[in-house]
Amino acid sequence: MSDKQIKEPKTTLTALPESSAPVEADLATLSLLGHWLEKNRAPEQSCKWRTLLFGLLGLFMILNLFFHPHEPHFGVDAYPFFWPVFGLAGGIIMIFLVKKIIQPYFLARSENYYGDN
Amino acid sequence: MGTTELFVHPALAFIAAALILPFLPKGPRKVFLLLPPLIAIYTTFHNTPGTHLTINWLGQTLTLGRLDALSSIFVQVFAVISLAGLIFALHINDPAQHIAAMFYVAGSFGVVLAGDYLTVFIFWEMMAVGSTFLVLLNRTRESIRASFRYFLFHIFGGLFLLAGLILRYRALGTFEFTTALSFGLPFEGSTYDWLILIGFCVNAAVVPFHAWLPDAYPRGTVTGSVFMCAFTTKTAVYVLMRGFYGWDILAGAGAIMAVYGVLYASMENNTRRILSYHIVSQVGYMVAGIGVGTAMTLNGAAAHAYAHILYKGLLFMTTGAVLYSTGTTKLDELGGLAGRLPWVMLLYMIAALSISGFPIFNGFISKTMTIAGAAEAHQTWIALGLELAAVGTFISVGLKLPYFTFWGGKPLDMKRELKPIPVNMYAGMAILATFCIAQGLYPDLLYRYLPFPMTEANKNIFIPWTIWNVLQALMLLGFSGAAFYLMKDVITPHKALNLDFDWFYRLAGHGGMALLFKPCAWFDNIWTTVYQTVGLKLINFSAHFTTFFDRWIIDGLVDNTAYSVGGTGRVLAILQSGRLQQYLALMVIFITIVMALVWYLC
Amino acid sequence: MTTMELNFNIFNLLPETALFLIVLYLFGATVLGAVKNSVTTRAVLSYLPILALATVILTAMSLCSRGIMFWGTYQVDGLSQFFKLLITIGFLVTIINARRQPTLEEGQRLDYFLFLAFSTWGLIFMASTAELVTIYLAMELASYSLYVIIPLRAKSKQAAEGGIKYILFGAAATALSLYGLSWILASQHTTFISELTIKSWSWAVNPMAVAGLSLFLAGLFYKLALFPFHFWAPDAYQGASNETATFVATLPKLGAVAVLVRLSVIFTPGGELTNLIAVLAALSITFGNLCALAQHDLKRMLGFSSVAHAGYILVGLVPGTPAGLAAASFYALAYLTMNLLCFWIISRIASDGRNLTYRDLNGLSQRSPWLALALTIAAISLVGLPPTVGFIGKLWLVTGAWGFGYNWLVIILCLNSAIAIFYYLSLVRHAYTEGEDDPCRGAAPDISIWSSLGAVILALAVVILGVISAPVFDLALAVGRELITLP
Repeated sequence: MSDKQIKEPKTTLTALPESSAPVEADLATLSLLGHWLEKNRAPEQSCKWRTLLFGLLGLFMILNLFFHPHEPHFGVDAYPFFWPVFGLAGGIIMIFLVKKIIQPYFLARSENYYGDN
Repeated sequence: MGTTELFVHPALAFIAAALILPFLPKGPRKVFLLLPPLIAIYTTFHNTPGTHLTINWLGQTLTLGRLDALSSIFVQVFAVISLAGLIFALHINDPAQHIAAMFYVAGSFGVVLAGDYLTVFIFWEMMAVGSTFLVLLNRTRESIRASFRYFLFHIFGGLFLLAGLILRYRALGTFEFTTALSFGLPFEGSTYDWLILIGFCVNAAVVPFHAWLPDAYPRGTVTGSVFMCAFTTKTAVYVLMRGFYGWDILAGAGAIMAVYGVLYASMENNTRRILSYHIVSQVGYMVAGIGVGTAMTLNGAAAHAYAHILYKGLLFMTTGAVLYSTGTTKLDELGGLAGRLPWVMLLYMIAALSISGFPIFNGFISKTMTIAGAAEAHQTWIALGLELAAVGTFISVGLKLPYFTFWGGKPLDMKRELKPIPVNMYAGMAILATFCIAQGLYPDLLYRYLPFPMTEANKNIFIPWTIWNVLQALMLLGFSGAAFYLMKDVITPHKALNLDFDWFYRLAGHGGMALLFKPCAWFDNIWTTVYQTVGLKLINFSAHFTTFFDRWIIDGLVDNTAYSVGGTGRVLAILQSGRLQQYLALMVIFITIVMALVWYLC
Repeated sequence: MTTMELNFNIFNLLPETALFLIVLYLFGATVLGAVKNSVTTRAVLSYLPILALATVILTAMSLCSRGIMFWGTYQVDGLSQFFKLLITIGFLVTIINARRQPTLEEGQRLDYFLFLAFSTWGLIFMASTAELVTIYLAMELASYSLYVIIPLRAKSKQAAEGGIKYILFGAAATALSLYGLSWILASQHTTFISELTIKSWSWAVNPMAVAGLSLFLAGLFYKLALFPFHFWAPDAYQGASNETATFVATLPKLGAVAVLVRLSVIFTPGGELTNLIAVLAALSITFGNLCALAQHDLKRMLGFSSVAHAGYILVGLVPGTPAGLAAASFYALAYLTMNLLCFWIISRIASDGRNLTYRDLNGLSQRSPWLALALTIAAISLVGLPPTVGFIGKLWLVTGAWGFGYNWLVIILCLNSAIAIFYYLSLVRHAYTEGEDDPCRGAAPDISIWSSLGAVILALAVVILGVISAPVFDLALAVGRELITLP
């Protein structure tokens, strides 16, 4: 019952290499929305989006200083920045736990482990 | 206590349609398919609350139409999803799939409207059969085996239900479907309640009875899984809400389910399996709400069920559309599709944001209610667990799944062949998306149907659209998104099968088979040997003996009697010699002898 | 006494008159020379069935006639009319059966039917006679007519032999009968049955009367072919032509039974006469069945079987109750139908008039399914299996006779029915299962519509009477009650 460790491939996902940018001809076959989506994947556009999103996160944190819950659920969540920390830490810990520890060492098996396929 | 107005049972419409469907030609079939859900929608507004359709069957009174606030909300949402789902499935030419779906939906309606446990059981099993076929009719080796496992497990769960309801009948003398009498603290509550609870929990996919869900749902047909995600678990939620609200064990179980589901979802590679684990997670919200048992959490559970059906249906529809188009659900094989399937992506995101609880969409108005209700009932850990699950939900369904499906860091994939997605699929998705947005923007659309009206007395007034609620949700989701962004590489999915509780199920299955087969085979061998040596000889001997007896004794007796009688006849016939003088002499002699004997002896 | 006057009332004598007219008709035809050519013979004879049918109808209409005539010697009551109806029906079937008689010469045809009519006329008288001498006269009228026609079989020596035996045996039997009558007259001083019934008949009181009556009964038993007065029967049946045998085997017995039923008022259970009757019945049944087992010729077999059936009928007379008398009368009817059917089939199969054996039946089911089916029904009825009239008849006999001290007789009846199964069902066996490919030994059977139709009608009668026997049995019961309550 010992399967080998599943190795995770490393990919760089932050920027698309120039050579893999979609060709204009291909873009023309897409629908309007599709065209717009693909265009926004281009590095200069995606940068703008990223900035926008992080800006919003910053805005939320500032707003958190002013707005508080009337009835805190846990007590601690009345404090500012609880929820950002909760979200970020919770997410990171969860992903790390699952993908780095639980899945590789305990749960992962080959796809045809049960012989169903 | 039956009302006399005409009650239209939606299940009847579906069953009737299922029976008529095979006989219709292709064209009318498509139109005909939409009739039952339309009838069902009509019934939600037409039927009056009360107890209808009580029939006597085998000495028991079955209540087929118990309509009150709780069941009517479920009937409504089932009708809506059945309409959307059937529109989504219009392009299917295989009538068997439609028939299976009809029976499945009919079963759900039947359970929701049932007033007694017998009716529940009958329709429960109807659901099990219908859904089995929705998996089976995918017609791949994988699906057929999965459907078999699914069926076994559900029948197993149904047996618990059956045992429970029979014991309950013996104890209480009635099959009436009311709430459990005790409040189920561990080791309180009667055996039958626990048995019934287990039976319900199997369908509700409560951990550890949940493993059938990620096993079977990804392997169903494209359109079948849409139905399945909506009905089985929500019907179970309904019966739990009706029968077991306030059972604290459910609160804990629900929280565990919620977190468990998202953990596994984060691991998975198969899009539909991710969604299946999310069903477990979201149903965990509902089960937790039922467990806490206050008016607000019950309302939250009902609202969550309603919203969940809509956005989960949409999620399965969109991933089903991707499956239909690309032919695969494996995240590591997908990617670079955003340009080519933009609308699918958009509709997916609507659903994904709904499930995450993003304001504007309906998940926001239901999830927050549940969590708030749990917190107000001072179930802090439950609320915490549910909030954590919300984080995980957004990460896995809201971000991981769409990212790797549509983008995945890969360039626009023009080489992959995409089957064009039929219009009806888009139509179905659009319907659900509209509902998601409408309810999100105007919560009263959903709240007005909730079982516990929001009044001061019920202490369950909840207003989702407050500044804090919106801010909190945005913060939670935003920073979870940031977490995803930072951990993108780590969370990249790759091919693996993650062991789940079905390892235990299969162990039990194989073990049971082995247990039966090996000793039985051993015993059978011995028995055959005995039979051959001793038994056959014995049989031969008795056969010989009976033949001998029959031939010599019985036949001898019978035949010889006949021969002797015949011989006597021949002897006597000699008297008829043909000579008249002899005749006359004999006549005189005989009559004299007879007369003498008779008169002197008698 | 008013009963001791002439009391001639033609309306009580309708059957007799009708038959007398038939006799006259035939006699006139012979005298007027219709025998000269076959055309006129045929013309004359073609009216005969219609006349016979008219007789039957008249007799049926006069079922309710009642009266005592001819100075008390002739009694028209329920019993007489019942049996007259049976006799006339038998006459009708017999003459239809005898129309195609291959062994009868053309010139003898009219005489043949004339004597048949005479015999029937005598039998009808027998049914109504209420006085011993008159009984004897009627019996002789019936018998002499038969003596003449038995040898009428295409110059067959066997037929002549059968005829001679019949005559001489009959002569001896009737002589005994007269002797017995003289003893009765001497001891009881009367020959009127109505007066004889009130006299004592026990051996201790009046041994001469008992012996006398026993001897008188010999004559009746001879006509009935009861053991030990049966020895003529198999030879006579075998010798006579098939059609003649049809008449001889059925109708004379009816006359004898009618007289016996009338006399049976004398037989009280436990009395010597009753014991004698019972023993003779038992011997007859057993002897007849056992001898029939050994026969190959069908008419001989039927002769012995008629000996057994005579015994069955007598079982009904033993208890002396109305039910018993009704059973005896009903069984006489059953016997008539069954045997008419049997002989009809035999006459049709032997279309050349030969004597049939069992082997001649081989393959009948192939050649004529209807005849085979009718034969099966006849066999079933003779055995006594439901739903035929033979079964019902035996059932009435058994239930009527049980419990009067003669249970042993009933048991013998049942046992012998079992023995009889062999030779009756041999008929069926040969017809259905044997020798489908055997060539026909003699001429092919007559398989015309007429023969099948007749067989079917008679078979239906057998079955219907078996199924719906109650009306007929009620009639017989009424007859019995009428008799037993008479002084």
